[in-house]
Amino acid sequence: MTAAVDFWLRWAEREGALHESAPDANLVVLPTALQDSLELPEAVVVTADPEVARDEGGVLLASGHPALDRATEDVLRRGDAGHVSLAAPAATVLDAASLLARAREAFPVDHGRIDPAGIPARERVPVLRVGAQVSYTVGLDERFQERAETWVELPGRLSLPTDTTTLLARCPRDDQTSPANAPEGLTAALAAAHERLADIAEGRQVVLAGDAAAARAGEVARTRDYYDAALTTLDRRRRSAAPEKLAMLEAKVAATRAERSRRLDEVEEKFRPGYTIRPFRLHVLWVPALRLPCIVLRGRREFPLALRWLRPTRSFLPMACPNCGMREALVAAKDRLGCRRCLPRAAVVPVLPVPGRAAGRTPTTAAR
Amino acid sequence: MSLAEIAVPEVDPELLRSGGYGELLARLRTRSAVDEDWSALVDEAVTMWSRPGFDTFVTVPRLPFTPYDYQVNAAQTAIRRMRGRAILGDEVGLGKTIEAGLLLAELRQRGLADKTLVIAPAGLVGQWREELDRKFLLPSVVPRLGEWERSADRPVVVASLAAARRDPLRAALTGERWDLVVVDEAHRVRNPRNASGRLARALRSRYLLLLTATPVENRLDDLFELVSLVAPGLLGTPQEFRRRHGGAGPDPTGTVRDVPALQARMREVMVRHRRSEVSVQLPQRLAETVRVTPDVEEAALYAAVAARIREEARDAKASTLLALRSAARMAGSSPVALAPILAKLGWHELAAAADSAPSGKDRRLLELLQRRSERGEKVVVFSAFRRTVEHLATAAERAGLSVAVYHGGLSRQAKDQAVRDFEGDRDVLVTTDAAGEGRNLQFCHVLVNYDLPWNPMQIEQRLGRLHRIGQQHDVELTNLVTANTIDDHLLHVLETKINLFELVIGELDMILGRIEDDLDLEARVFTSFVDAADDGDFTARLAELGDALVDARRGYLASREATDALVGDPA
Repeated sequence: MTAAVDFWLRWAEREGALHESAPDANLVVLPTALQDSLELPEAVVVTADPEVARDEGGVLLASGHPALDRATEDVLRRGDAGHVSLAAPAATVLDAASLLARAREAFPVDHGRIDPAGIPARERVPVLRVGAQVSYTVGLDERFQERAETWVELPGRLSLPTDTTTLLARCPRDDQTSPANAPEGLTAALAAAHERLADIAEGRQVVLAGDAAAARAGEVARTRDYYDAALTTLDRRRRSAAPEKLAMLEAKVAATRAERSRRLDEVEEKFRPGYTIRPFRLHVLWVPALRLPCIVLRGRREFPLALRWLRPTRSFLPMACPNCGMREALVAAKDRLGCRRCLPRAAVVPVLPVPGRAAGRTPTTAAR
Repeated sequence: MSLAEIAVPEVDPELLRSGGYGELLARLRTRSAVDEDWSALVDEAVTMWSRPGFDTFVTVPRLPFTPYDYQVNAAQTAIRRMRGRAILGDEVGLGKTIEAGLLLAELRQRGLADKTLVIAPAGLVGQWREELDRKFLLPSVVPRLGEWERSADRPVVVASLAAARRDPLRAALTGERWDLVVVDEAHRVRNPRNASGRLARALRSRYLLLLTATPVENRLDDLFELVSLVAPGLLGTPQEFRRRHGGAGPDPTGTVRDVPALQARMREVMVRHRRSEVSVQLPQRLAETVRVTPDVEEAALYAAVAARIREEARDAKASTLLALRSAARMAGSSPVALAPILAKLGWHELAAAADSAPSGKDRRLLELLQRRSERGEKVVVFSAFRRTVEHLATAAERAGLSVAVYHGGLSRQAKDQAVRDFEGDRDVLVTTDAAGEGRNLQFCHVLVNYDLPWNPMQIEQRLGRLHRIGQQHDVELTNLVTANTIDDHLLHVLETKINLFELVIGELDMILGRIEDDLDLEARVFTSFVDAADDGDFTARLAELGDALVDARRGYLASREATDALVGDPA
């Protein structure tokens, strides 16, 4: 049985069909609704073998068959949405000191230091997984569909790196735990995920369209020249033609003009770029984590910060700048916690020469 | 500024409304758990739906055969570099049909070719349908009286050029907006002034494939016309083209200017492989003809039947003519096959004689089978007629040979079993032409034509079952023919004039097509027979046909050379 037939049978079964499988053919009994939508009889033999299909009057279920397309379309239209609670790993939870050391290593802060502000607490962090199909069209030779996926953590709306998502995808489920509530910030996280998918598609399309531009211009010019020359010749013949031939030549001119316009339209169509994003999956994964309440200390100033340690991946959730939302290294300024991108230079105090350093060298970034 | 105050990108409300994220989001809010089985089904649907760039042909791993690399490359070049409008100009026998099928299947798989039209010479329509069906799992439909079943189940319309260029089919086909049009033997549409050429220019299609091994016939303008069909303007205007390259003269190669520039242009629109450039080496075909002298009784029967056919055919209606033609062919097969149709025609005396007449070919066949069996060689024996097949199977079994029988009347399981038996321990497979369709018998290398189809394309199909990729031995073919029959005369012409049995696959059609578009050789032979005053006259008429074949072969070879000279290196 081919993958296509197997897929179709499983889909049909979920829709209420019954089937009996033999090595080269499958007898399927379809419920009324499927009979109507697929335009198939109640009992039908489906097969991937053309000879079986021919001899037994069966349906050859191969790529492009409408029954297969309809099943695919139906599955994709309904999509895949739901919540998954991931199981906590059996390994011992890291102690507070180890967590802190890892936090300081993962998130260095210019002019500041991460200190604990409480004891680590267990929680489940919602992570949104968005799967989509992206169809690109940049002329015929760059017309294809790809699967795209992005994972966004809900607290900060940041996308997760691939090594983290790979581990999360493999993590066993905890079927005993179900989410108490739909997570907050779901729409905002979805918007962030969609923007990420659109960014990827946009970037790809720009490159593809650039590649095709020269080919398009060349083909348009060639086509124009060809038909213009044909029309010029016809025009010349028309001017000197005998009256009885005029109608024939007029008809030829009209036909050539129509053909020119049709062909130019075809060329334009051939090179028209575009992309569409079609989501098929929204999962919220509830990931066992440790919430580590922290402060960033700059002298006596304290800036609160919460870090989340994902237990299945043994890594922290990425952190955005609390000032601007960008994913940049943090900087503790005098009045706030920001990042290298958003804090004006003035907010960063110039460094005083450190005793013992060679005179005359003034670092451009501060440390005190 | 707190995190909550940072600008949050908005989901496009249209995306939510139009069902993009809306339904999925609504389901998430119900807090339902993920259904793992359903998730797996969704993943499979996505895989089936996904089509990566054309550098990966998604259909190739799903096909029931493995195409050659050069065939896949040709299809990829036609899609990627030539953007779906191309001339596939491989030398005959290298599989232009496969290349076009690959491209068709790929475009269809990607949803880019829902409406496809294949236009082929009438004699190749069946072959196209078989190839599309068996190799590409694409069932097709043949239009009747300008109509065809517009069903997604049968995504490809296969029409003969002869029917397509005439109304009502012409109007129906040109009124359609096709995604892909494939024109086989496209040299027949290069003349914009004849009906075939006008048809090709009136069809509307986004993608267009022209298949021809000989894009250049008599004039360089031939090439210009074909190229202008797929890429108008690529070779400039007709005036520019003549100015740059010359071309209106009778010798397409002798007067051409700036051949390298022309070759470079051609590479933008044409893929051509030559046999010498690809590593497709088929074993040799070794053919022998055994002329069997009939005994007196058999010869008398044949002479009486032939005379009666000629006499009755002169004033016969079309339906009777068809029956007479069948009788003439069966007479060349065996008396056993002949008897029922003679009875049907009301020639009861002759039917009774046929029922009891011996056949000299039987004895020769049994000798050959015994000899091969002793050497441990399997033999396929073809006959066009089921009664002959059954008769031969019985005779071979009586002679102590183990026999498998195959014909169109068997169920699929019985056919499969017959081939399995033959591959297993049977010495002989006696079969009708039903086994010529889609059965691979290349584990055997000895073939006997017990009777000869008058349509040489059918002979080629029989040979093709054994003489194909995977065949380890030279293919040995024996033609059994009764002396002084129509079959005998025809075979003589085909062998001596065009060396039929040693032609490369595909060349035969090139030659026959040059005599006449959609030449029906079987009808031509029968007409020659009944119109002839006597056997001498018939032989003379066949000799004329033979001369036409010789001219056609010469023309084909000249055209092949011209194409090589002008088109140059493969793309």
